[in-house]
Amino acid sequence: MQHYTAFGLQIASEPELPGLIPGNGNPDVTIRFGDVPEHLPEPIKGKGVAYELNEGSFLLRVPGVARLLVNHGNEIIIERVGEAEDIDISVFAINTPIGALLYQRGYLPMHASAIKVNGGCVMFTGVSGVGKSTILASLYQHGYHVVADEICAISLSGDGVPLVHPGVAYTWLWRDVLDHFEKDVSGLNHRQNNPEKYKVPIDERFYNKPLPLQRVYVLSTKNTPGIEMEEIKGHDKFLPIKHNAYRYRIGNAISTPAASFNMQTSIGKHAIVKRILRPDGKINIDLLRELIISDLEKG
Amino acid sequence: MKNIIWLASYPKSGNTWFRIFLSNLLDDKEDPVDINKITSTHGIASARHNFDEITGIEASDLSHDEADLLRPGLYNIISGESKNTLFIKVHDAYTFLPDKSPLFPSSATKGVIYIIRNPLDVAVSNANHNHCTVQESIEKMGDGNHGLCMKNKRLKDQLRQKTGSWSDHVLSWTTAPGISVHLMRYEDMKYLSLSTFTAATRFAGLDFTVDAIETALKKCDFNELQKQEKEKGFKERPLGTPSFFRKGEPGSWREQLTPEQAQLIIKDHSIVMKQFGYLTEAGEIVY
Repeated sequence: MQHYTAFGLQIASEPELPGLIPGNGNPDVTIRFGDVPEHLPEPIKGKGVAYELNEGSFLLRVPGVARLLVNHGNEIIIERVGEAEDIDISVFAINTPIGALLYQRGYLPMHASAIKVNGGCVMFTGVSGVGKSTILASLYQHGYHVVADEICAISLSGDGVPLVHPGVAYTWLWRDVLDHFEKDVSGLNHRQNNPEKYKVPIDERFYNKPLPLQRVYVLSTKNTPGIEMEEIKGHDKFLPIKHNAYRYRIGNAISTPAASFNMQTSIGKHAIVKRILRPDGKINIDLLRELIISDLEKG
Repeated sequence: MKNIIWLASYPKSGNTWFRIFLSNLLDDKEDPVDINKITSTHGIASARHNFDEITGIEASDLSHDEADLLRPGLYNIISGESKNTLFIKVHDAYTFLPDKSPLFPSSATKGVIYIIRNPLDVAVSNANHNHCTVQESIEKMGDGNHGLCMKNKRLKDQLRQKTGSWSDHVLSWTTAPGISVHLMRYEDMKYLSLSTFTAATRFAGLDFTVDAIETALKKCDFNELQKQEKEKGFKERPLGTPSFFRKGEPGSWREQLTPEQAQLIIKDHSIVMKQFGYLTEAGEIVY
């Protein structure tokens, strides 16, 4: 077993998970290979094309790669399908199954990237492709510490403050973004079937402690030129937080409405929420980064 | 449960106009529906966000072919979870997966409204929409391997959509086995509006009076659409394209295509153009 820590959890894992930082050997979660059924026992509480879930378990079937079973927030069992490679296994394990496991444990996983600013966490959320990882990579290049990408695990502190737990010490970037950063892709890993999305290690400035969430930028696109930023206030804050929960359909089936509401309320209460609208298509990375840095400096 | 009516078309053939008409018909408000708030139809089949949420797998972690394998299941769930008829736009051609099953399963399909438009006008409209040259537009329409969001280099908000050539697209849907397809010509939507839109609503199982259909048609008159776009923009307009609702007049290709370009389109598509009344048997252009 390898020992890692991520998402505020100690993980013991049979498959190697490169990019997760070493743990202390006292696991909250075990990841191992084993037999995984095609279906879960009834009653089924929620179902998608490739997943189903019941009271304590979540099952994901990735065609041609693996079946992954998540039990009671403390175990992920993986059955490899066919000739799937190790990187395929790690891509799909540290993804929806981790999201389901976090929901099972009562966390709110947000679909977001996050950096450390002063003593707190600043999160970038929005739909896939909007630029969460791109802005993260750009801010990292400019000296900021990375806290998480793709999944931001949030729990509440004893006094109700939302805490963002560090994720994994890598990000996934598309070729056009790497070209912009003039990054040589030859040493980077990718799925054989997905040759333009690369796993990029965060090997210098990964921040490995939970941080209070202080600010959320909600990214979206528009079809007019220029980048716009505006603060969202009051009750309007809740909707973008709710909509950008990681795999919200799965989350809704696992979490209780009261628990979700609690989390969203706490984020709304403690964090500044701002909407950023950028022109659709290729991102003007440098302009967006400068705008965000200048906004962060204003406090 | 078969709840989905696919609003299928090659891009720039009148699909958006029909969706706005349906919204006006189904919403039945006094004022025309806001073109940026079309809620009575249900998005596009290739929306990646729906795929990610409903499959539980991020499409960006999959190859295009891997993602396609999950799409029939996606549509079965969308259809099964609805109590009502859903109108979903689609620009993909009607294609089959390696196991010969269709991408758009009959188990989810209540029917298809296929909108066809004179390819000579489509070529010009697409060039404007995608800000490419007319020549490039013609080449794409003649390319059997053409599709939308085909490149892998950058993440798009839609899945890959194989369209094939314009002719491939038309034939794929109009000959799709095992599903009911209602054909609607853009030119008839323009010149024979009431009967054409009435026939489509009847096909969709919508029981509205002729008066209601006439009122909905007035609310989505081309001038109204242009007026709204001018006043408040249109969110489906691609960045850099001056306007989405540009001309809309059948035969306006004559102002922009050279005779050689028109002949190139006819050469590529004459069989299908003849079949659907865009070219006479003698080879004369109808619109």
